[in-house]
Amino acid sequence: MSDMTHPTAAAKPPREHALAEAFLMLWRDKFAFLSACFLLLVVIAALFGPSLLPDQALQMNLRGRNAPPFELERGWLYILGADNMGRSLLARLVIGSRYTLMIAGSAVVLALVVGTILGLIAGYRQGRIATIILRGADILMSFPSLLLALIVLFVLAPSVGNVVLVLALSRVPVYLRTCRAEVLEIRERQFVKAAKVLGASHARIVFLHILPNVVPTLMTLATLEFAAVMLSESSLSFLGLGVQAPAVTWGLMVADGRGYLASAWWLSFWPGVAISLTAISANLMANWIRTATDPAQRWRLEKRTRA
Amino acid sequence: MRSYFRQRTMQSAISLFGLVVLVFFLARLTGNPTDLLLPVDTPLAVREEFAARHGFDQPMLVQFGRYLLDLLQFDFGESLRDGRPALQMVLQAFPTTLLLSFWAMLISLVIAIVTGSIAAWRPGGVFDRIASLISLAGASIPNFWIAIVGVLVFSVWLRALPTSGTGTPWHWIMPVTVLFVRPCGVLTQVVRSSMIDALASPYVKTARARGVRSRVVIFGHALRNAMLPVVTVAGDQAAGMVNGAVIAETVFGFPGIGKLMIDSIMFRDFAVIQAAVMVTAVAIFVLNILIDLAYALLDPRVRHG
Amino acid sequence: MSKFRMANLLCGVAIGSVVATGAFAQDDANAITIVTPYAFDNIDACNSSSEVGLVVRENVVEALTHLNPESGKPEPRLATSWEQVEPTVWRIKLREGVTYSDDSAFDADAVSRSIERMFNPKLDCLNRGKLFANIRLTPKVVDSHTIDISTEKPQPLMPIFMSFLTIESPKTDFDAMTSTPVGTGPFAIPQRNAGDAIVLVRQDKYWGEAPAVSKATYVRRDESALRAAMVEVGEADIGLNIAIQDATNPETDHGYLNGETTRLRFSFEGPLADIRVRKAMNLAIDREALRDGLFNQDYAIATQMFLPRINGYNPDMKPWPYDPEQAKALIDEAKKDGVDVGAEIPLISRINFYANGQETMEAMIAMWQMVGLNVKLQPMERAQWLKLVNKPYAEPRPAMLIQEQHDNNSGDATFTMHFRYHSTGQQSEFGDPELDHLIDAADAASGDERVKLFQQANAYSAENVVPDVMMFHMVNYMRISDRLEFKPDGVTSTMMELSQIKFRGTN
Repeated sequence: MSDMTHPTAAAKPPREHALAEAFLMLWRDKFAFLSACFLLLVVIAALFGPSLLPDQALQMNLRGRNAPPFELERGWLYILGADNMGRSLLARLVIGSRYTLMIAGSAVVLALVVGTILGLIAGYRQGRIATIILRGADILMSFPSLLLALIVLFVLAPSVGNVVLVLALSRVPVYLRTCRAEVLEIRERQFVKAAKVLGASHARIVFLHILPNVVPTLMTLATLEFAAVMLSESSLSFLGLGVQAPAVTWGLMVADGRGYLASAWWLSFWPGVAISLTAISANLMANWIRTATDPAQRWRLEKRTRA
Repeated sequence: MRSYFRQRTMQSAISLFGLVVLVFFLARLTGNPTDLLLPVDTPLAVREEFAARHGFDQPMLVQFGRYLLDLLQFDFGESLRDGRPALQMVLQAFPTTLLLSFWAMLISLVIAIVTGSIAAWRPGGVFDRIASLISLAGASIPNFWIAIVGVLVFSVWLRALPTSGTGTPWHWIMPVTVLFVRPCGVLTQVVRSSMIDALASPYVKTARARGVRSRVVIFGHALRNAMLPVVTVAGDQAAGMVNGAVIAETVFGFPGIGKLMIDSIMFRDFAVIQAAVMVTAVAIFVLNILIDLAYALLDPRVRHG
Repeated sequence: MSKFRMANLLCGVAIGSVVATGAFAQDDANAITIVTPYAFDNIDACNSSSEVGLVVRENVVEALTHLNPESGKPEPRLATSWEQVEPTVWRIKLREGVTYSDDSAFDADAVSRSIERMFNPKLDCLNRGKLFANIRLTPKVVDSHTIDISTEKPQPLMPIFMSFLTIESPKTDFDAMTSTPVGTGPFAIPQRNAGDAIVLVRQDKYWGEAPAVSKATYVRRDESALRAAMVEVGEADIGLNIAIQDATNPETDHGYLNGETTRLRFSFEGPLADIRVRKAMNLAIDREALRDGLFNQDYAIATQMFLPRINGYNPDMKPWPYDPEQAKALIDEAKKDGVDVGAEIPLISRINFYANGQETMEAMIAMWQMVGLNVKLQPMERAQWLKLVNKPYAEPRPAMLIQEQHDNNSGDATFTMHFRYHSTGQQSEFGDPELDHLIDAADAASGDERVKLFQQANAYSAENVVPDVMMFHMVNYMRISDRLEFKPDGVTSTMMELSQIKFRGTN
């Protein structure tokens, strides 16, 4: 909630320097830099993985079930070991990144957009509409997400799109309520009151004065939710309500490998690590972006740049 | 204040009714308990007899009308699986989950507020880095993973804790841990980021400029301002505990409402699903009212329509 | 403010509940704990043909006869002898000097009442639905320890049925299920409410030999790894349904055929209406590779839907050979005749069906892919899957394979054959007059003739109909603490007699 009493006063560097400057700031923050590299890797895997390793991830080898990691005799593809069908875990991680990112990304964005819009309305407009929205959120919150998943599976079919729908629906209230709480506070601030007195339209007040102040908190929440959604997807898979084989996601791999934690830990360990690393990287990047774009915080990165 | 409560209770009652209607009809879209409770090889005639005995052969609206009439007499129906009153089953299971959630939330909040605040004092500092990494890792580890690895390490390998079940306080350690790790990670991040904002706000800056040297005082002011989003997110995490508790209760054999709910959903034990949803919904509505009260306490400017 | 009060309250409850429950240490050296994945929601005696039988059958409520786990032959239990006095009437002599644990006397009236109770339409009795849906038993008391049971049609299987007739106390509520069944068995269940833990306590009035176990507590844990861990650290003595990957200790982990047989059923539609395609799909599967890769040597490759100890098992049938070349040849032949062998065939699997089920399906699909067939996995939740399994089928019925598992723990083939292979069977996909005739003839026959006819029916079906892809006779693993002396057998999946459990080093 950085108080942007003078939102236009934030210094903006000339455009051509902006990129170089950003990269320099990123380079100075080693954690953020590593995160960026990892995220880039994941995105590349998601984009090109399925065309690079189309067969390796599906190639079964029942004699090589649960092959342990760090043994190179089977080839570098088996460096992380093999799963319970003898398939290369590395190849499956690469292939799995596409659906994982797609599902988690779309679910988070969908929930974020819907939740924010409803939250802005509920916070700004109070009265009957706000009441309806909030009680609707209450209903959605108390509706068991498992039942929701089962209903969607039954009425529709278990497809990637429907998994996104279930995950997004059950997360909307989180954004809605956070957004509304922020709006309630911001709309009482001086600059919003001033804008009202000056006769600014509702749309102008909401989009120009309130939204920019809500976004940082919501972005923090969204990046955190990214991990939560990947894990929910995993729980759905485990209960058989999520993505179905032969499609692969990291969540599905974690869930499938769970029975082997005592005998072949690597089956669910590596996809778990992939989820954690992606979530951590996304959050570190988000923190960095917040710092870098916040005039009140920017000095933390610039000081080192100039030192 | 009293009129606020009255209004809020009215609204909640209406939402509750909406929820009942939704759950009643949507749950019935997911298949018939007749098929699920009877063995696969059961002859058709026996299935039809079973459905008729429990009223599943009636039109949906008739079933709903009957359910509402019973509900008015505070009769929530009986479990198809063992014939017990649904409400009794739910109320028996509820305290376990409430306790699990309470301890998990309490520990999460305490750790999150302390760690998040200290991390916010110097963003990018060593403490912030370490706290961020740990909390983010905590927020992204699958909880059944923690549960099973916990059993393997602490029970089988070290023989320090009982594997599962209820009884002594030792039995609670692993389930509570499984439940608190994720909310704790999320809350730490939220506390951290709103504390950074709060510490940078003109209000706190002014206090500093006025010569308030004491870190404690500055922290106190900032924390109060930073609590609004924390309360919201904490509320959401608490409301999500019923879902989160499913894993802990399943793995550790805790007779809570999460486990009851999932078993009932899998068997389409409608009466129990409905009773469980209603009881949790009431709990969540109460929680929401508490959150609204917390807003009002934290920020007197927030008024309720 | 109210928050703090609530906190105090909650702490109080926490401490209270801990003190109240206390630690349940095994103070009695002969008390055992059994950890299972089952909820045992309703342990009424008339559900004893389901997994509820693990708890109550023969431990609490005894049946009239007892099936020998090896031969499958009925042996005396509460009945001492039986004979078919008329084609539709069996006369049964009952054991004398037996009392229930609630002191009621065991006699013909009690048996009669127990049978009538099972047929009471107000009760959801699984035994009635599973075994006696089409067979009405009519009891008639002859004298205090003799009873006649009559049926509409001649019933040669009565002695086998009698092993499912668990006779509860005459004081049992006739119109309601009970959560505290009372019987004549060596164990009694202390008063409990539904939902409480199930504890069986040895009772002194038992007519037979007193068992070594004094008390048995049944605990539910859903995770196989956890059940295994509980036995390993000594919190439990027996862990049921341990997953293969957790059954790593040959000293404590025992495998046993659990009576289940797995197969994929063909719908006789589209390309699957052609027998060459169905044969090719069988030839394309390397069952040994599947077994050794995904399961282990304890699993048996199945040629028919039940185990060798069942009446009517045909020992001469051979498993399908693995012959992808011939499979391809058959498919090519069918293709020439205009069969659409390239069509995508869905394989309807059931989510969380049996251990390694999903992996097996994926491996089989890969094997079919190698002979050019396009099979696609379509996992379903149980309720969805059920809609496709039982008649009446929705029209039009698509070409598909359906993953199935069937247990015949009864001892006779009829439970299996009629349902699946007779044209009127509820899960049959075809009608073959010759096969119908064989099954009908077998149903009416008894003794060796019956066995022979069922054997013929099985062989005929596998050769001339090819209604399924037979897979395996399945195995369960049980982890048994080394302080116990006990071995599971073929009927352990529906019955576990505590009286057979001995303690090591105490005798």
